Amino acid sequence: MKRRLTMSAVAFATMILTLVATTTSASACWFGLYQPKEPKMLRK
Amino acid sequence: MNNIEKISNSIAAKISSILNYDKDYEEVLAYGAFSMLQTIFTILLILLFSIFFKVPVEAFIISFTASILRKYSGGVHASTSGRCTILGVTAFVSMAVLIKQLINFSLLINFYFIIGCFGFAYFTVFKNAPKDTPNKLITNVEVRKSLRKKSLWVLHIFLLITVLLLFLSTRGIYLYGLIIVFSILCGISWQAFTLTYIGNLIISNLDKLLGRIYNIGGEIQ
Repeated sequence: MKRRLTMSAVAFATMILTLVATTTSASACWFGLYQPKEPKMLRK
Repeated sequence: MNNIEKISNSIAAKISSILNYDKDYEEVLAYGAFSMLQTIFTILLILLFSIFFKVPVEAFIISFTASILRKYSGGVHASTSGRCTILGVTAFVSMAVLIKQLINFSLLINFYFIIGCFGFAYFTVFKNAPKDTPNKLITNVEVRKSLRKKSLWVLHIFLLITVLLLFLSTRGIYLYGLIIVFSILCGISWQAFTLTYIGNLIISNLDKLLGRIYNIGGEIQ
């Protein structure tokens, strides 16, 4: 049960972080005045 | 590497080790975590300082207006996330405090101010958007055209909201509308300013000043 909950939380976190990463990558930049280096996978 | 970057990297490493992702995907997760944490941290700081100066609504409208336009138009960047937060929070809260002074002018002056701000924003966005950075270059011509078009659409929507709120506030239906109008104007003007050569020069020098004199905001990666 605990493992199932942990895996669900990890899957949810992965989904959210991937969504934020691709949204950030799809636009010119994000909220502030700083742009972190874009990952290789998102450059194309 | 600052604390937000360290936390982002450790979150990404933890998830990758559980789900057996490769280094490339770990980078994507770290990028997403960094963007999210940096945004939350900046929002919290804006909230804190704007409550202290009693301008939370104005500061949030300015920051969200600027960031919505910035998403498509790009703009000048600080060299570290710490300096970015300091410059952003200072600019947004200062403008929010200034709005309380500007709001007392006559309707005619307010009208000229609105025309001036939108004229400046349209001209700058049309001429300079999208402005990329060395960390995220936009080389594709089609993508550049699309981002410029979207930036102009964002301005059209803000213009529509401004006209509507101005109408409601001058008719006495919604008096608070004028404060929202001024907040929107400050947001788009600030964002347009970061697209100009002078804006670039000023923000770059402030960034260097923070780095050289006080070493504020962490080291450049």
